[in-house]
This record gives sequence, structure tokens and C-alpha cells, in this order.
Amino acid sequence: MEARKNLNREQPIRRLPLRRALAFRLGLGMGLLTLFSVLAFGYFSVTSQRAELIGQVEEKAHWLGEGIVTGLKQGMARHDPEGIDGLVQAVGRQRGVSLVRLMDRTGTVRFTTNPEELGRKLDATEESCNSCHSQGIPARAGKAAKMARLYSIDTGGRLLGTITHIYNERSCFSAPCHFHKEGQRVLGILEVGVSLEEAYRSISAAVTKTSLFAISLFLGITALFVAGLLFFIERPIRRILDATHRISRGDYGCKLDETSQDELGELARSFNRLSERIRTREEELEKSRQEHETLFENVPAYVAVVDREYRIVQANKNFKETFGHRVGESCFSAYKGLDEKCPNCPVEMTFSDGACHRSEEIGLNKRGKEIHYLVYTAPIFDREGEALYAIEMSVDLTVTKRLEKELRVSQEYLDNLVENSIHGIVATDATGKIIIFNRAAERILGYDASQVKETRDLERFFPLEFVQMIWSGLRQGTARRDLKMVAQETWLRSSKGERVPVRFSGVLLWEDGTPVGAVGFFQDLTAFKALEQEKLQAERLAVVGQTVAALAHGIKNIITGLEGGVYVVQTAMKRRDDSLLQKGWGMVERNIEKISHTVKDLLTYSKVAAVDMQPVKPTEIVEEVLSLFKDKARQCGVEIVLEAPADLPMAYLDPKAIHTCLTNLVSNAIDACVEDTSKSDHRVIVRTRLEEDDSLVFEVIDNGVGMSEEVRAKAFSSFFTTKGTKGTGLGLMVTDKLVQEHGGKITVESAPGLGSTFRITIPRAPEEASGGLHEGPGA
Amino acid sequence: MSRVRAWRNGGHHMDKAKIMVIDDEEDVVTFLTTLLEENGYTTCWALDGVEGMEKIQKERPDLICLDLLMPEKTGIILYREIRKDPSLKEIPVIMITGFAAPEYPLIDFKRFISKRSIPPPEVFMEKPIDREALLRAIEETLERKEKPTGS
Repeated sequence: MEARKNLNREQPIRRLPLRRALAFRLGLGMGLLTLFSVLAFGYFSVTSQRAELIGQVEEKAHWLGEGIVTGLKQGMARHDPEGIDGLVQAVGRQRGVSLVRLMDRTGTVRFTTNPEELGRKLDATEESCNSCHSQGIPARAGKAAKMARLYSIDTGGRLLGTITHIYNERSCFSAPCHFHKEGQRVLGILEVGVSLEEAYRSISAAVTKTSLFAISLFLGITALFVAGLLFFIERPIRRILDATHRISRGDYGCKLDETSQDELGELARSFNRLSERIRTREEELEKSRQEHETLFENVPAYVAVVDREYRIVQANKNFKETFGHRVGESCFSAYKGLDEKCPNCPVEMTFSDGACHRSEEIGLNKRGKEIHYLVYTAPIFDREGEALYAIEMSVDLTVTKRLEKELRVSQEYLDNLVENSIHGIVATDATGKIIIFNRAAERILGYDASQVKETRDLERFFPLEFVQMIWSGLRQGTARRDLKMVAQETWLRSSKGERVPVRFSGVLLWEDGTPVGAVGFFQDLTAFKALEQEKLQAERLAVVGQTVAALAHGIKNIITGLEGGVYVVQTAMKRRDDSLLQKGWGMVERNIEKISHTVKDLLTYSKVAAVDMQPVKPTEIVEEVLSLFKDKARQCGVEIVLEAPADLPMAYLDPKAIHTCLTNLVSNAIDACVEDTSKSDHRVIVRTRLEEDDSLVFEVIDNGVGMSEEVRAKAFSSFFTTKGTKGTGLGLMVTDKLVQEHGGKITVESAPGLGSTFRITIPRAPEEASGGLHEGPGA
Repeated sequence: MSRVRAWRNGGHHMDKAKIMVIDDEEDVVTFLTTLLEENGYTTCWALDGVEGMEKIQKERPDLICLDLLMPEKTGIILYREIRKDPSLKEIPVIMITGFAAPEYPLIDFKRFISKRSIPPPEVFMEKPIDREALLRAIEETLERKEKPTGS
């Protein structure tokens, strides 16, 4: 955050001093260039002008010289020295001619416009002579002599002297004076000195004019240039500059005028593109910065930046809310209230190796409450790659820890529940691997949990049916509520191979529609079975007691009947009443018969324990019984109906016992019909069928008198009869007993006045015998 | 002995009381009529309720021994008819129940009786019949009946 502020700090826009302005410099440079150009031009122009002027002057002097020489020759020929002198003086008076002198071969001045030097002999060092006669050597006439030699004689002013050689001609050496010999080439020299004042004056004027022109041009061009630059270059540049300043201040709204078609227009367009890109980029940066800041501030973690002194330089909202405003404090103090660095400090490790570290810590929040957190540290490098800061990101584990603890507690609670259950509990995970095998399961089955956990030998601990259910359920992986099994009585094998009777219930466990495992609960029925046995024994004893009491009662009844008969017999004998005697004797006989019946039933009952099971056709037994009652039923006006499916399979049972049972029930049913006077049509239906669970059902249905609830409740008690002296009260009891011995049960539904339904349900075959059934006779 | 005496003592003004036995079991009828005749009563009998009603109206017995459970017309229905008939309702009835465990019909019967505001029978006797107890009950009932009529 600090760095960002630095970046944004505004820089003042400085106005450049004029001397450093580009336009000024360019203008000045251009002006100077012009100045020098003009000056150079002027210099060459003046130089050539001077040469021209001097040439003109020289020409003029030459012509003068030639003229004088011509005049001289004529004068010489006429021996007219005055004429020559006059010519010299006349030429000398010509404007611009400052000196005319004529020297002979010896260098003696013979004619001159300067009277002071007349007759003086000039030596070779004289300025007029030394141009040719340097070093005293006689000049060689040649080219130089032919052309007029140019030299200047300075006599206070600027002078140009021309030397004209006077060559020896025929007219000279053939003249009558014979003054000049024929062999002489040069007879003398004429020197004409011309003043250069005028030429110099005009040159000077030209120089002055040129200089003035140069300066004014320089000033003008500089000014124009500066102005032009200022207008066309500096102004747009300054606008761009302003725009860049604005951009640097973060104002991206400015747009430059792009109408100009020149490079500056191009620059402005380019600049606008650039500024647009910068703006976009800056916006992205800003967005990203805001995102980062939001992330930093709002990340659901405590974030703090610490320097190498372990001082917190920055912290996020979450941190401040939890630990308070601790920026500037040491991290150990802020997080834990410590006075010195924590041992195994991850920040220290990060500083030392520049890598990320993590550790689990316990701190104190601003209210002094313990906070568990997982801290990750990461280095923040400077440009040299040195870790300047470390960022600490801490995830609050307090809730997680609490949940963990709660989970652990609840897990322990559940584990305890499972472990201390008196029922065996065996559970698997989603792969069928055993993960729970509680103490009761160990005790009941005799295995050690450590041996069987992690195995998949489910067949050892679950009934086969449930094991198949588990594998199919886990394989299909879809939730099915019906995948559960309840077996009131089954058995499991212990580690020693013994059969342990158990009550078993198993269920597949689902979560969100997918199986997560299976669990089986089983209750050890060994003790229960023993108890049941005892109870049965006790019941049997009780039955014996009841039976004895009831038997005594029944016998008393019979004896009373007998006594009655005896009394009647005695009375008849006393009265000698034969018919009464017969009646009395009949009574005696009938009671004796009743005793015989009772004894027979009792014998049947006592023999019941040993049922003789064999494969038989149930329908055959039913038909046999019904044939016995055919006559009696017809006599009593009762219709007997047999309802049995033709395909009823073989069953494994005691045919005699079932015969007895059905006989009793059918007999009772006919009696109930006979007793009923409310209806005219009576019917007994005997029905057999096979239930889905492979149990065999015999139903005897009558529409006779029916039973009240009280009678129905006592129906299976011994010696209970509603038939007065006609029944023994043992029939249903015997039937019940026989059915029980078959592992079945007998139930009765009845409504007074409507009739009764007795239903015997017995397993078609015990498991061990079912194999042999299909090979049974008639099968 | 006492009953014989009582009968003999009262013989001069109440000559041989007539007792009717109604039971569907012939053996019981035989036994009871024999017993009662031996003890100085005259008897008549019927084997079911329908016949019983006819004979009661014809014979006009002094006392009725009625079996509770009978085919055709049960003792309960017959008893109700007796009590409803103004000419018969004064006849005392000894109700004899044939159950080894007689509480059910008795409860039913008492409930039945109370519902129709019919007075209960004078005596309930249970099978097997105790000869002495029966004779005593008959004698006492006849004596009780005689007093209000005699006064």
C-alpha cells in the first residue's frame, strides 16, 4: 500500500526556462546557421569583388602603363624628355593614379610623379622591385616580363603598383642616338601606382551591407523559427506534456486533438492510443489491485505482513477484528501475547530459507480466548531477491478443533455404545471391509476383533442371505430401502465351528442414495434358548399340574355321572323297575366309555413328543380325514368342502399327528354347525395351501355357532369343553401340542353366531430335510 | 332324612310337590327324576326348551330344575318366557349349569337378566350335581315359596 501511494504522489510540472526550451534552441541554432551562412557568403562575395576590383584597377594601371610606354617610346625616339615627363605627370594626375615612375636598367628613377625620388637609384630590396628581384638576382625576363606584374606599393594608402617592362625594339637600338644597344632586352621599367581607396571603400560598403543583411536575416529567421516552433511544435508538445502530467496524476480522461495531419497529429493519435492503453491497463491494475485488496482484507483468514524484526507492518480486517489493531507490534505479542519469539517460528524459517512454511499454533484473541490456527508463511522478496517481509496467513481452526473434539467425543460415545452393546454388532464400509466388530460380537462368535477387522469374510459373521444382499447392494450402488434382513431366529457359526443361535437383523447403510456400508446386529439366543427350554419345562410342569387338576375335575364329573348311574341302578333294583335299570346301566356304561376316551386322549397327548416325520402328500391326509367324516356330516346336514391345489408339493410331517389334528378340528367344526340353530345351511371348508415362505397351511372353516372371546381364549386349555359331558376338553390341546411339535402354530378366528376358522401353519419341511423331499414317493 | 321328614311333616297340607326337570341330557334327566322321586316328589321332565314350555303349561310344576345350555331353546330363553308369563312367573327355578367352569354363562346370564329387569332364578346349581345340596335347595325354596302363599 505504501508503494502505491508513492507511485501516485503528484510531481509538480516545472515550466522550462526559455533558454532550455527546444524552440528557442532550435530557433537560435537556425538563426546562427543562417548568420554564418550569410557571413560566409558575404566573405566570399566580398573577396571575389575585391579581386575583381583590384583586377580592374590593375587593368587600368596596365593600360595606363602601356599607354605611357607607347608615349615614352615616341618621346624617346624624338628625344623629348619633357614630353615624357609631361606624359608621366599627366597620367599621374589621373584620378586614382597616385604614382607613375620610370626606372632605367640600373634602377635609377628617371621620370616620376614624386619629385623627391627623381634620380634615386632603387635597389632590389625596394618593395617595387623585390617582387621580381628578390635576393638580388637580376630578374629573368620571361613570362613575368611579358605580363604586367602586379604588386602594391604602400605609400600611406593602399596602392597597387604595376610594373611594365620596356623592351628593346629595333627603333630603339637603330635610333640615331645609339643610346640603346641592340643586345639589351629590357631598357627600363615603368611603374604605375594606382590607389585602391575607392575599391576598398566599395568593398567596405559591401561588407557592411552584407553584415547588416546577415544580422537582420538571423534575427528574423530566429524569431520566425522560434515563433513557428513555439506555435507548431512547442504548443502541441506542451499539450502532450500536460496530458502526460495529467496521466501521471491519474487523470486518464484527457484526449489530444488529432486533427493535425502532420507528425504531431500522428504523435497525438499515438499518444491517445497509448493513454487509452495506459488507462485500460491502469484500470485493470486498479481492478486487480482492488481485487487483491479485497482478497487481502476479506479472505477468511488472518493475514499479517511482518518485517525481519517480526513487527507487523500490515494486517487485514479479519486479523484486526480477531486480534485487535496490532500493526507495529511484534507478531508473537499480537498473536500470543508473548514477550519473545515463539519456538519453531515459521516466519523465522521463511526468512532464513525463503521458502513457505506452515505450523499449527494456539493464540489468544483480543478478548483473551484461545484460538487455534494453522499459519502459512510466505516470503515477500525485494528486487535483489532478499526476503524483506513475510506474509502470515492463518486459518482459524478453533471451530474445526471444537468440531473435531465434539466429533471425537461423539465418536467415542458411539464407539462406547457399539462396544458396550450386549448385542453383537459387525459393520462394514462401502467396500465390504469389516470396520466394526464389537466386544459382544467377539464374545458371541469367539473371534478377536483385531483378527477379523479389515477382512471381507462376511460369510463368517452374517447369514448368507444378508451377505448376498450386501454384495449386490454395494455393487449396484443405489439406495434401496428394502435391502434389510430380519431373522427372528437363525444361527451363526462361532470360531470353534459351533452353531450359535441368534436373532439377527442386518441393514445396508445409505447416505445420499449411495451405500456406505452394512451393519448386522445379532442377539445371542443361547441363554435365551436355555431359558426357553427351562420355561418350556416349567410350562410342561404347569401343564401337568393343570392337567392333573383338570383331570381330577373331569374324572370327578365322570364319577359323578357314574354315581348317578349307580344310584339309578340301585333305585331301579329296589323298585324292580327294569326300564329304569336299563337307563341306569346305560349311564354307567356311557361314563365308563367316557373314561376310556379320556384315557385315550391322554395317551395321545403323552405320546405327542415323539412325532414321526416323513415325506407325505398333505392332500392325502386331508382326504382321508374327510372320508371319515362323510357319513356323520351327511347325517348332521353339514356340507364338507375340500379346497386344495392339485400341485401341492410333498411335505415333511407326521401323517398320524396331522390326521389327529384335522380329525379334531373337523369334528369340532361339525359340532359347532350342529349346535348352531340360527342358520339352515352349514358348511365346513377344509383348505390347504402353500404360503410364499414355504409353510403349509391347513384351514378348517365352519359357519357354526362361533365362539365368544372368553371361550376362544380358553379353547386350547386342557379339559375345557363347551360340549358338556360329550367332550373330553382335550382335543384342541392335543392338536395344539402336535402342531407345536411340527414347529408350527395354530390360530383361531371366530365370531359368535358366524363361525370359526382354525388355521394350522407348519413349515413344509425343515431345512435339513428339504433336499430329500423331491425324491419322496409320488413326487 | 331331614328332607323326607320335612316333606312328611308338610305332607298334610302340601301333598307331594311336583318338580319338573328340563335337560337335554337324558342321563341327567333319568338321574334327577329318580333322585327326586326317591325323595318323595312327583316329577315330570322335558329334553329341550320347546318341549319344556309345553309341559310346564300342562303340568304346572311347583318347581323347575332347568339346564342352562340346551339345543333348540336354551335355558335362558325358556327362563325368560317363564318369567314373562304371568301364570308361570311365580314358579321357582333352580338353574343348573353344565360347565366345568361355569362363570361365563352365569355372567352372561346375569347380565342378560339384569338388562331385561327380570328377577334372577331362585337357585344356581352347578354340575356335577351334589345330591344333598340339590335336595336341600329344593326343600328350602319350596318352604320360602309356601310361606307368602300360605300367609
